[in-house]
Amino acid sequence: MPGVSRFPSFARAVVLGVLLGAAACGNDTPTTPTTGTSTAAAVEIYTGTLQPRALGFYSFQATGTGTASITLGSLTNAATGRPLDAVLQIGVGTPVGEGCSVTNATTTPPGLAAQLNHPVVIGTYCVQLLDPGNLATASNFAVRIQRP
Amino acid sequence: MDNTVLFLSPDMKHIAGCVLVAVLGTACGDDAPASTPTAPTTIAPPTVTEVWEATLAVGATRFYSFTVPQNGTVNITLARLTEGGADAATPVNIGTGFPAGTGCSTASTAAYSASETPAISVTQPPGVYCVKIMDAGTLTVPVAFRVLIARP
Repeated sequence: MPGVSRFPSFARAVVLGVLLGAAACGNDTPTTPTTGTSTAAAVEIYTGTLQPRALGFYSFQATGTGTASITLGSLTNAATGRPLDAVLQIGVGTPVGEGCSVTNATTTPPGLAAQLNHPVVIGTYCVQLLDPGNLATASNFAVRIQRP
Repeated sequence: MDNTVLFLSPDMKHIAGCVLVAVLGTACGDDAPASTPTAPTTIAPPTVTEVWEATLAVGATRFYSFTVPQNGTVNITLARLTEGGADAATPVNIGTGFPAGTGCSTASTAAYSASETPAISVTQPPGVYCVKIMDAGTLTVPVAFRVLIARP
């Protein structure tokens, strides 16, 4: 009988509706609050050519709290491509005016391990690379910036 | 059994089920208001003016970074634009955004000539921002400029 055969279908729909509605209600089980705003680290690469006695800077956004690790990873003669071990200054700070206001800096030759670590919170920062007088010619560089 | 529900078409029965779910969903929950009112946001007026003076070379782009310490209005004025000491008629492109990489990331720029009226007026939350000025492709000689950045 069509009417009877459709009734269970409708009943199922009502029961399903009630169950879904009930599922939507009930106690909201609290979840464990997250602490801080730490996020997965991201890496940015700052590359360019540095003239003798010159400087350059690169701005980046920290999207969480943590440590920004700066590595002067590569320095080569721009004309020949030959690796250089000249000591340069790398610093981290905040973009101000037409430059980077450095609050933490170190002098270092290029290497594979981070030479400068700096605590950061969410915000805008900059990395500055400066030749204090050790470059004899224009040099290509690569700086690795790992930040939260 | 005289039940009018039995005479609903299959489509109507499905609709009835969905309505029931919606009604139950609406009925449950806390007795609290659906949305919690938030405190009105205070927009601070500009109280500090930074002066950026430099020279823009042909085909060049320059930018200047500044900090907005609290939610407020930022006015950017191209106060002076000269070439060889005389007022320059050629407009330059100006935009505002945030420092990113080796530049200033802006959503857009537009051409402006020198004026006492702010070229750009925006409300910004606290943060570091930048103003970018660039040759729109029309400069034939370098121009000296003065940009005023009024911020909270």
